[in-house]
Formats: sequence, C-alpha cells, structure tokens
Amino acid sequence: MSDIKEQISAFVDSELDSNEVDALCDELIVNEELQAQWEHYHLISSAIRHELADNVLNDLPQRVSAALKDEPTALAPKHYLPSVRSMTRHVASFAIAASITAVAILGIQYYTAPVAPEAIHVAATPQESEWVRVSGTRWDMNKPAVESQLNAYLVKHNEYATGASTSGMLPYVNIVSYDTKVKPVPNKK
Amino acid sequence: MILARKSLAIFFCAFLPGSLLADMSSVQGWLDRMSQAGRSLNYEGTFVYQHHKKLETMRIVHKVDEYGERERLMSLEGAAREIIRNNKSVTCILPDDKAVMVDKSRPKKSFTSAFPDSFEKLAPYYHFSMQGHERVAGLDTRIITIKPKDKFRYGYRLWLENETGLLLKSEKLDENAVPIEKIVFTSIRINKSIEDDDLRPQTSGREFTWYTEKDKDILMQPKDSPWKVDKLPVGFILKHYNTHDLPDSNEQIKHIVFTDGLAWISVYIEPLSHSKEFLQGESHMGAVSAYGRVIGDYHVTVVGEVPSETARMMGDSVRFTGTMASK
Repeated sequence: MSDIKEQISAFVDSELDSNEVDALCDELIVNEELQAQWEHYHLISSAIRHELADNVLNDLPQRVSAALKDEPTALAPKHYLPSVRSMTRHVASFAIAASITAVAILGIQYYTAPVAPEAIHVAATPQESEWVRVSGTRWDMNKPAVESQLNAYLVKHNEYATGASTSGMLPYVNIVSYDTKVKPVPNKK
Repeated sequence: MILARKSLAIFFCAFLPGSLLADMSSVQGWLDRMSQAGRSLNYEGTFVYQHHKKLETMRIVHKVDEYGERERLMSLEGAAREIIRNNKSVTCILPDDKAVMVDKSRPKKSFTSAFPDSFEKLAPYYHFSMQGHERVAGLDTRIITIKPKDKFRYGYRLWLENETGLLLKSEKLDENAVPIEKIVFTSIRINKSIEDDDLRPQTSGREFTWYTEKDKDILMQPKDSPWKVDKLPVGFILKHYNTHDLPDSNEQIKHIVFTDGLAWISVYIEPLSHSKEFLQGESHMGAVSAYGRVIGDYHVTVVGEVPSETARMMGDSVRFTGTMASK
C-alpha cells in the first residue's frame, strides 16, 4: 500500500510515465481508499501552493487536521518545489504540521486579503525560497500572443463543436486546464 | 410519430434498469441516453483531466431548471480558471491572464442534434462496440468503444453510468489505440439538488479586463464560402460558415466549421497584421491540434480535436476561390 501511496504522490506531481499513469488510473478507479488518498494529496499540494478555492477553504481547518492525523509520513516542502512526492518523505512530522498549518492559515489570508509575498515566505517556510507562479504555456510553444489567439479560436471552436458529444458534456475542459509551472526565485532579503 | 416514440424511449430509459429495454442493449440506445443525460440531469462532481503526462483536477456543476441549463466548470489547481455557461452566454474567467471573456452560446439546437441523429452517418468512418462493465467513481458503467477506420480522426472509449447513461469516463485514443486524453470522474452526485450559489463564479472579476463579443456571428450559407478546403478526410462536410469578431480582436474573421459527425475542425481566416503574431506550423494542447500558415495577405489557422496530420493536410489545401470583394 505504501508503494502505491508513493505512486499517487508522484502522480499528483506529474512524475509518472504514461504506462505507470495508466496502471495507477486503473487502480484508482476501482479503489475508493486510494481515491481518498489521492484527493488528500491534492489538497496538500494546493494548500502548499496557496491555490485552494474558497469553497474548499470553508472546511479547510478540519480537513488539514484530518490530513495531518492520517498522514504518518512527513509533509514538508523540499528546498524549492512544493512537490507532494517530496513532502511525503523523510521529514519530522512536527515541523511538517507546523508548516502545513502555517500555509493553510496563510492560504486563507491570501484569498481574503492578499498579503505580501515576503510575509507568506517568512511565516510559512522560514528557511526556504518563496514560490511564485510563472506563466507557462499550455500550447506547446512559448509565444503568449499566439497562444492567446489560439485560445480565442478554441473558445469559438468549442461553441460550434459542442454537438461533438463525446466531450460534449465538457467541451471547455481544455480551456480551464492549465499548465502553469511553479518555480523558485531567489529570496528578497 | 417516430420522434415521439424516440422521446418516449429516452424518457423511459432514464428510469428503467438497463436490461428491460431492448433499445438499451444497442450502442445507439446508450449514446442516445448519454446525450440526453448530459443535458437534462443535475449533477456535480470532481474529475481528473489527464493529457500527455499532465494531470489536472476540475469540478463541474450542472443544473437544469425553469431557467434552462446552467453549468460551471472550474479548475481546482493552479490558476482558478472557470467557465460559466448558460443558455445565453459562455463566460471564461482566466485569473492568470487577468481576463474575462464573454461569448454568447450557440443555440441549444446544436446540442440536441448531436450524437443520435448522426449515428448512422458515422458508421462508414467509425466502428462501434459495447465492451462490458466497469466501476467508475463507485458507480457501475457500460463501456462503448468507438474506433476510427482511418488515421485522420481519433477513437474513443466511453464509460456510461448504468442507470442514467451519464458519461463518467472518456478516453481519446490515437491511431494505436493509446489514450492521449482522459477524463475520469473521481466522485459524482447525480440527480441531487444544486444550489444557485454553486453556479456563481468565485472571482468577482473586478480587476480583470473584460472582453465581450461586439457583434453577433453572421451565419452564412456554407456553400457561399469563398475559401475552400480541397483535402478533407472522407466523411467531413462543411457544417457552418460565419464571420465574427473575436473577443480580443478588432478584425473580422471568417470561420468555417467541418465535421464528420463526431470530430470537429475549425478553419479561421483573418487578414495579416503587422502588429500581430500568428501561428506558423503545428502546435498542440491535449488532443487539440492547431496548424497555421500564410496565404497571400491572409493567415489561416486550423484548430480541432484531430491528429495533427489532419490539421496540416487541411491547412495546406485551403485556397481562395472568390472575388476580392468576397474576401
């Protein structure tokens, strides 16, 4: 079971190759316990990245404490990347609990009243770099103007193609989808 | 009368267990139910969208009541992208771009005429089969496989919930039947009441730039398009031809839409502009292929959920056949 947990955390961090992903997907579909584990890692990942939606934030304290209770292995940010895989390894749970709680609380502040990145940095991960979101490409190129154009085309295309029934229920998934990356920046001291 | 019987069948399908109706044993019957369920049921759920090696989590809320069909789709990770759709408009909220795009929906007609009517027309290009049962998000499903008969379109595997026919999992398959895109519900509630609050965006959008469509699309007769695409995969027909202003553009754009009944491809033609950069060659996003090239003073972009070879073949065969005035 721990192997598969490890795999799930790698999965959440997009670190599995496509064969592994396929196998894990098949397992996830039939195993409700694993699904819960998977959601749990996503929650942690999102909390670390200050990305939780308001509706998730409402019951966050309970979920975070439940998550911490259920997670005997450690949860702490690696040197720069808030990877779930790295978080689920090797760190003392006390430090981790402190870190997660700080992030969760700051995550709420971040949404209700944005705080300065330095403040988040200092409080959440004192000795680490801060994390910033940089615009990534979702199209496989690096030309924002062209991508923006293609996205506009895609919105319009989807409106006309909604009759295309297989993805008809979710014709906009590819627009909501994101592929921004988190990368470290030097500390501002 | 046939239509009435069909509606009646769909009506009953929604309430009777699978084995009771002969219709439901057929692929056609299941696809009918899938289309109907996606439009007419209340549901909310969390699903995973997997493409290439990427994995994203999203939530969808779908409500049907006296106000019609309303839907909200949001990303649970990364930028809080959201799409809010109702009978009148589609609003895309893109916090990472600090942009809100509002576009009016196509008439609902295009929804209802989707799968069922074109099923027979699809048979020459796709092979359909039922392939057993599986559980998805804790619910029993039937599996349908749709296999293309050539390399110009993708195949699909669909997992339809046993009771309602709602699509709970789908895979797009490349020419080697390898999944290139997956959507899997990890949890779903069907036929439960949905609060209106669940359909409101979480972002106020006040600090965002709003892009709204200035003019309505001008729908034209498909045969009147002065732009032709000479090389189309067999079975694809010109379905729509219109001109419109794109939400973030001042230019009038010609938009030609092709479909084989299942796969859809758009061809956009707009005047070249020195201040604007256009796609040259191929690009991809998930299963969406795009291909762009310049023809004279115009730029042509092909966008669709088809293999890149199809987009390129079509893009390379676009030509202008009208007079200068009709450009």
